[in-house]
Amino acid sequence: MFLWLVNSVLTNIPGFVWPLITAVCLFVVLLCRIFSVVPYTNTVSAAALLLSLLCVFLWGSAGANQIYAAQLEQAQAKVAEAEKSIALLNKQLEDTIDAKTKIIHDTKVVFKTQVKTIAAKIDSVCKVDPAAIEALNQIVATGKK
Amino acid sequence: MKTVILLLVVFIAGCSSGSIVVDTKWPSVPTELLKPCADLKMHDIDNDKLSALIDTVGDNYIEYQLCALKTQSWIDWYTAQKEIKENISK
Repeated sequence: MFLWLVNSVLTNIPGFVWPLITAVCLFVVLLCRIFSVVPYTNTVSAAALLLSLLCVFLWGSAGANQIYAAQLEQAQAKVAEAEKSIALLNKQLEDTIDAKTKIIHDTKVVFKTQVKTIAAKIDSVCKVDPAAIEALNQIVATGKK
Repeated sequence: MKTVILLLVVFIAGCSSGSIVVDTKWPSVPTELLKPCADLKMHDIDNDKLSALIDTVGDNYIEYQLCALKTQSWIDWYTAQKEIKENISK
């Protein structure tokens, strides 16, 4: 709530106002010391001092806000650049995946053709024992458990 | 007077939250990487032809290659994202 209040004040009032009011208040404090015989000088001096403290605080806050705004802008620029890099990276990765997938599928086609070519020859000399197939299937089924 | 000067110095520090927080989106991933790896093929136990068995085994090798490609792509994606994230934090 306090920060929100300070922030609202700082965004609505230009920064040069705070050093100006501070200077005026300190000048008033000085005047009160010089003309200390005038009535209410103590009250006016105390009020001016408190106001100058408040203005100095807001002056400092305005400076801090400016620094944070600059840092925020810098960070946002970095994020925007990073988002561009991510998009580029994903595009490159997609291209790599597509290219490698194509190679794998091409290899599959060649493999299938090779198997077809030698199928008659190998099938005539070798029958696979169902136990061997079962053993292989068991390994395949392991991943599904 | 000294107290006033000290107070002015303290108060000029103002109020500062101390750190900058920038909201970043969760990085997107190529859609291909979000698809799960296909299941390996089981061989028909009644088909005792060696060529058919080689065919099944070959298909499974191919599935492995495709899945290995996805895994490697995930590793590459993660490494690159980490680097990008670290560059932002610098």
